Amino acid sequence: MTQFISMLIAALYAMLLQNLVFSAAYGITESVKIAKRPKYLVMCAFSVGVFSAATAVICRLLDNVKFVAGLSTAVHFLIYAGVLVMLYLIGGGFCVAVLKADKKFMNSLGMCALNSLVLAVPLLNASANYTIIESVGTGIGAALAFLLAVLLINAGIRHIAGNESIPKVFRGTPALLIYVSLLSLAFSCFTGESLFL
Amino acid sequence: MKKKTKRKHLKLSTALFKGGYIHNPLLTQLLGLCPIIMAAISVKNALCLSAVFALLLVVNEVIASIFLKNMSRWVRVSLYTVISAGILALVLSKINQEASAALGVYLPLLCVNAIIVVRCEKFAIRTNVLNSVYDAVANSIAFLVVAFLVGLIRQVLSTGSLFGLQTPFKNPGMAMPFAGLVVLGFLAAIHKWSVMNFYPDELVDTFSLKGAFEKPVLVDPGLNTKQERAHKKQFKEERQEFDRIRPRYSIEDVESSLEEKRAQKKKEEES
Repeated sequence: MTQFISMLIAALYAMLLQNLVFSAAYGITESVKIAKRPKYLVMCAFSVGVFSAATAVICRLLDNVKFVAGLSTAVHFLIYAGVLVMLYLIGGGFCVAVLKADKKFMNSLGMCALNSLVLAVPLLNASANYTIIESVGTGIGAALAFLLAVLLINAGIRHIAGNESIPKVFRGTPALLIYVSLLSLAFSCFTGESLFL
Repeated sequence: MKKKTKRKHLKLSTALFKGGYIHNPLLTQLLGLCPIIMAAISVKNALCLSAVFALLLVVNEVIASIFLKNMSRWVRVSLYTVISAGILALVLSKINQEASAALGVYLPLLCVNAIIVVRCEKFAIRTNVLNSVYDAVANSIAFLVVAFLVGLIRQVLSTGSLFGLQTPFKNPGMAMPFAGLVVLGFLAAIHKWSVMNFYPDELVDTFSLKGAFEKPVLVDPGLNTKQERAHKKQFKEERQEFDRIRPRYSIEDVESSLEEKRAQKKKEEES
């Protein structure tokens, strides 16, 4: 029960208090891209969750090995990237061979698995010295943060796209960036950092 | 067979103009925003990021254009990450601790930067090495310019100093991610204004909000292969049936029917 609660706290922390997309900009490109056409939203969020949780767990297990623990930061990072790529290749191979996934699905899978959000999770776990259970929680939290970000951006995009009161120069990309910045400002309130002197 | 590109000889000036300015990957396509938003809070950080990014992009595009043309896309995407991670590990071991600490996790995260994947997939694998190098240089310069401007503005507004000179502004909030997004938003607006005024024919809203009205779908169509196959089969059968029933016209028949129609029109006009 205690372990479940610690996992839940880690997930909620990654989703709300320190929303990984808005407060740290991890995977913001992918969030915006999927918010524009959210056809594969649930699949993408699920993929992010699976890959980030699995990478986090494997990397934490490897960190506990004495030989790996003594290596430099650069080698640690190389190991994390290697684990992520291996998981992606296994998952991709499974989807192609068993599920007969189409090209579009595989493109989305690549985007969801190999992004800054997924790779940031093991790096953050290592810097915060999380346990394996907490690492799983961070992975799930990353997926929930991604889902929340996509839904919020998608809701805003629908208003921006049909709004003719926006000046011509700001329509499209600039308006979207400023909208995302407002969301980021809203989430930064949870972090406790001071905006002004 | 792979499609061969029409752009056999790309000029560096064309690559810089089209790839770097008109279709700026950061300001029009919103690619690779993560390091710019979080790490470009000073000019030094921005220059450091841009240098590493340029190295990664050039190497990846060259390798993609030489070796990776015959692989399937989903395998290639992972190879870009592996190549970038290898280079970054070398960079991280050589770079001094101060610069590495200032950039934090955002320097290693460059290995999964979206610009690298997109440029390699959309351009490098369809063209020769020289064109790939030009494209990589153009995109690196575009990244450098945007990162430098964002870093400069945020450094001035957040620390109140620039190269030892004091400025009246000092607001630590400008180092936060929302400020990076605001600065990028205004830069995107300036970029759009300049293209609209000076090159109106070239204006393409790459990040158009065409599909924005789609609502999130809670069913995964990618994995539902059985239904998809059944649908394709049904479509094929219907098409075959349609082809069988459809009356076959010869060219002469079509011409005669057209003549009839023309004659009818003439009659109507006369009447």
